[in-house]
Amino acid sequence: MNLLGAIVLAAVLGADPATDPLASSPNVQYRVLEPKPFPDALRHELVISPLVPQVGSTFTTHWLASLTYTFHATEWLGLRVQPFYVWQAQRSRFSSELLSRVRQDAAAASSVMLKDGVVAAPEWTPIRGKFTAFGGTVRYGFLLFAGAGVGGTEIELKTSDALGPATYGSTGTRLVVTGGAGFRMQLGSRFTVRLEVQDLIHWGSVTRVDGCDAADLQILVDQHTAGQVTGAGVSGQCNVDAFRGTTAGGYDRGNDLGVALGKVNEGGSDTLQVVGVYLGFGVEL
Amino acid sequence: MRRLLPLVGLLACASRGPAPDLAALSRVPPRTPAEALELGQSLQAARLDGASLGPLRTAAAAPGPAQEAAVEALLGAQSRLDEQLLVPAFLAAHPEAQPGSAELRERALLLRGLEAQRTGALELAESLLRRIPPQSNLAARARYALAIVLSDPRRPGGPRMQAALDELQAVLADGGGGRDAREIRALAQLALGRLLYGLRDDAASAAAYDRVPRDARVWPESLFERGYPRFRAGDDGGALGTLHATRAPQLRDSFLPEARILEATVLFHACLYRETRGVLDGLTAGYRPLSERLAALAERRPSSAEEVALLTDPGRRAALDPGLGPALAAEPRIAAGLRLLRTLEAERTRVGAAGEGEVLQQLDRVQEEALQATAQEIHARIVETAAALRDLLEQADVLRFETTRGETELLDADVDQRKLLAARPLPPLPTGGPADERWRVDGEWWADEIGHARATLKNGCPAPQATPSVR
Repeated sequence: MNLLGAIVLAAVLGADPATDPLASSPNVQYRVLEPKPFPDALRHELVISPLVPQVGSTFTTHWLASLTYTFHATEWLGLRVQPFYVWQAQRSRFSSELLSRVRQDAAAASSVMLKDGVVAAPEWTPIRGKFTAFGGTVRYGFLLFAGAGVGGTEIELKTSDALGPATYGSTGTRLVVTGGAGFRMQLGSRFTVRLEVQDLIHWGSVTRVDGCDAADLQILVDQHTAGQVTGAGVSGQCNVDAFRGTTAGGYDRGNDLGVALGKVNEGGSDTLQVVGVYLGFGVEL
Repeated sequence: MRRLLPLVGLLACASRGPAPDLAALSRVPPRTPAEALELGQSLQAARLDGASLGPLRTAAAAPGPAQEAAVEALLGAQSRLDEQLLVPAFLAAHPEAQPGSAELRERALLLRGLEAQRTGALELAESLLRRIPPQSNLAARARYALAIVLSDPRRPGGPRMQAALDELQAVLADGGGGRDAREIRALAQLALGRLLYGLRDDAASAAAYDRVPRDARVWPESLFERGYPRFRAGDDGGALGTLHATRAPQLRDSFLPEARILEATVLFHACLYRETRGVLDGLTAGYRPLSERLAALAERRPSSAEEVALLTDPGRRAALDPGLGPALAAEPRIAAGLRLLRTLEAERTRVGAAGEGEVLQQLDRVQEEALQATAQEIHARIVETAAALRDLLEQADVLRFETTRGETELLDADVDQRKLLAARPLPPLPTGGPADERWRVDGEWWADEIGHARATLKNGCPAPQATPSVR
């Protein structure tokens, strides 16, 4: 049993009044075989984590939400599928300071941000325990998981300023590898609370922005300089519309073309991590 | 003047206590059953149910026009107070006193039946309890009591075990809610375990014991008793495991010395003589002084007030075992008696300065009777417990003697049991199924784990065939 439980129990109950003469006997041994009040095997669990902050980031900041479905194949092993959506991704404060004070932007490959995605992973609960709280017993499990999936990514082209909010360009769908650990508490007969730290890792360089490679972007830049972004002569996957028109603040999206071309031409690659703290509330069905 | 009494009582009800007028109006003792009924009703209207028991019993005892109303008012007070001593005894002594309404007739039948069962009039109890219809709110209570009567070996014509089992199953099938219904179902579940054990159906008995709800008053008893069917069925580990739970500090308010005898018996059966002796020595050290104190109490017969104070005065309660005091106080009839005494005391406080007259006299009378009846119950249980403890300590002596004999036989056979046990590995602990949590037993007592322990033990007998047969 765990230390916390022992402390709580000792505080509540005080000393054991009954001396057990069998406690020290080498010829008798006891074990508790307690039916699980909350069996997991062959049950489905849905967990929502509405507000997940990224921790320890350098150039980007993410706030995301995720919904985790876990099928518990056994009491110890489950398979989780976790779609997530980044509802706010922006340049970190550090990166903004760099840009505004010394006009130094982070490398393009280091500035790519996750937008959404889905990961799947087996989940292992190697340690289980319980503690007493609020007059009851709470079961918990320490869990580990690791897996992979895909995620949509984007890069900031224009920072938020007087001309309007920041603009972003899609940098495509990438492989996302995930790993994490956490605690899962079981409440009542079907509710769970999870506190996990999860890393979403993705790699790559910026070779395309909104589907346009360097050649496409050069053509579009030339067209923009000439006065009109027609899109003629670019590859089929280049999303020309992303560089047309104006934002709600009146900012001309064509102005992003130069920045996009610069990012694509910059080259290089990086391993990016979005380490988040996931506080989730779940129900087991 | 007396016709004004109910009105005064009602007015008193609206305030914090009875109006001073109540005492003034009731200075004259009632001379007729009708006057006694009127006084009783006035006291009830003033929310003095306890005090009303006195005049209402006077009115209900006398045949006449006031009798039926008096019995009904008496049963009303009994129900509100959950009184289990004075009114049942009165009804048993006055079978002619009958209420008018069908519902109250059923209540009267139940109370008479329970009283007859308690006093050993089993035939009468059976006939009274059978008259309560199955659709009655009191049917579960009556059927449980009937099952106990039917299974009683003293029953004229012998016990009818199958009929008793049927009654218990009917009680368990009743899904009624409420605290009383749950209590009756728990009692029925425990009784089922006992009857099935008596019928030597050990597996069913153990399963029945296991189903006694954990929050039931009788759960600690079921916890230790279910060691018996497990032991007889050869499940020594299961028996030791469940007996181990009875040491839990969470059960400190339970009085279960018999658990130690069964524990010692299981260990003796496995020729674990050192362990047997340890358990027996613990039993003797813990309960011999208590047995002597209880024997002295049983013999001396203290006054009623002293006897009640044994449970109500923390200083005096120390004379009892830490578990015995709470266990006695939780006995339904004793608990009802103590509750009535508290109610009467509270009524006396409410009456306060208003009471020079009949109200205080009625309170005094009822309080004295309640004190005596409660003390009788306590004394009866003390006598019973003293006798049971004496028996258990004698059993411990017998077991200790048998242990010595077993050790001597080993010496005669030139068997060094310490070496023998050291050479034998401890059989593996049961692992349980995938839906079981496994916890080590390391001195912590978790409430949710109580009752789920299992043990593994070595066999210290020189050869399996030499195992003493004590099952």
